Amino acid sequence: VTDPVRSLLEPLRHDVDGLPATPAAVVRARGDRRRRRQLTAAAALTVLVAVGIPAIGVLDLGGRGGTRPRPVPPASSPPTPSSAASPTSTLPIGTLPKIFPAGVPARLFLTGEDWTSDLLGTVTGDDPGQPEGSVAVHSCDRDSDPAGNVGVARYKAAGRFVATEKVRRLGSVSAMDAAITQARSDLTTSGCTAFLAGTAPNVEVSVRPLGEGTVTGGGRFMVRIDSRTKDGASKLTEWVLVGWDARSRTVWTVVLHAPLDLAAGQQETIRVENAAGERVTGTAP
Amino acid sequence: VTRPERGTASFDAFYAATVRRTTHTLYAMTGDLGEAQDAVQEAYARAWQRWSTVSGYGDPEAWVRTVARRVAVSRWRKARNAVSAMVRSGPPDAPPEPAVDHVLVVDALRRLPETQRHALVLHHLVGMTVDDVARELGVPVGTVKARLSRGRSALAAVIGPIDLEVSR
Repeated sequence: VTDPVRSLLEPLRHDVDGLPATPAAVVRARGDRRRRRQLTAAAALTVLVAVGIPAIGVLDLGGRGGTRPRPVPPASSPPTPSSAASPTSTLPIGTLPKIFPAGVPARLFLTGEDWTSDLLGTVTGDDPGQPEGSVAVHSCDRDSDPAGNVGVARYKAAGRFVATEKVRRLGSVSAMDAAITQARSDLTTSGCTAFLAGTAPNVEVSVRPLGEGTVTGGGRFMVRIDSRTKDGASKLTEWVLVGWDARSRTVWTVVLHAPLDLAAGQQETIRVENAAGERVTGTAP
Repeated sequence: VTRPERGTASFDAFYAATVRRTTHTLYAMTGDLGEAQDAVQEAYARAWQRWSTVSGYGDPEAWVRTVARRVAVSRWRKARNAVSAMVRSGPPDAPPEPAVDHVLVVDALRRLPETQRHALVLHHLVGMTVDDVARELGVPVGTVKARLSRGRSALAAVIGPIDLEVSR
């Protein structure tokens, strides 16, 4: 006897079959980043509990399957935001995950409208809060730590995530320069291969530079990442644009995941380049 | 049920064998393909984190499915409750767009209460018995039967009569 409810639900499988397959290596890398973040956060929590410093925001360290630590009880005299953010502090306040990083307001992020085009269709944006786990936004991204003023926004078209943007505000120009240097190193074939060797050894990657330029007080560069499993079963292409602004000590990373050819992917990423920069520098209309 | 061994290769094989089925299940549970995809990836990432333990479970796929369901529910509730998020991001996203011939089904699913939707999917799509659904959801068998009955009635109100007794 045919189950009519199953008959209704079963065809939804065709929508799933139409999705590009995420390589297992990418999922494992996400799990590895999550583990590292939890270890870092747990260490920070230990220090904070020991000295009675209150947690900032909401802690989510354990995941559904694990134990969820209780928020640290407030100290008798809560510190001011400026003291918590002080670069001279010896306490790792900045390593606490925060759901809504105060230094990264939503206005800094691209909107769905910025992404919407004939090629991508109507794009909508997620809340640019911090996701659980990692803030890495592309396959070669070592900047996975949710510490500090960092936020990630995701963008959907037709039910799929097609793009991601990360905005990180640094405490100093030297810290910003270090972040850019790290991003440049990560976004090379050798740098990314070295990174993936430790997290996804069965993935081969190729990083192709697509352009670089400077603007007043900052700069941008763009690459395309092609990764595939060694058995050829899964492939992934990402267009990555990294920009920075020295005045606001901000680095932003825009990633397009949509399955487009080279010209189209490049065109769609470049299209949002100025909008992303203008939002960070506060010159957006 | 896929019974994986330990290690990277076994995880990859387990992932390849089960991810589309799990995504399909979560898609039916959430009515949102993007959310389903993300919740499933998060669940597999968590499975990899503790693979030496999860791989020894009797049904690792059920573990992943349960984690993915909880991740999806948690995110949905956070989104629903986060007034500050609404202020920051404006109105919620427009619903994702399923294939044209699935619009009616997805729309009908979205109209169901979450508890009924989960019971329907686990029982009718995953093929679990009512007893197993009750164990997985942590509710009495009678509650599952009631949710299935109400869920079918609600679906029928949208897509037409459904004549099906609760099976064991």
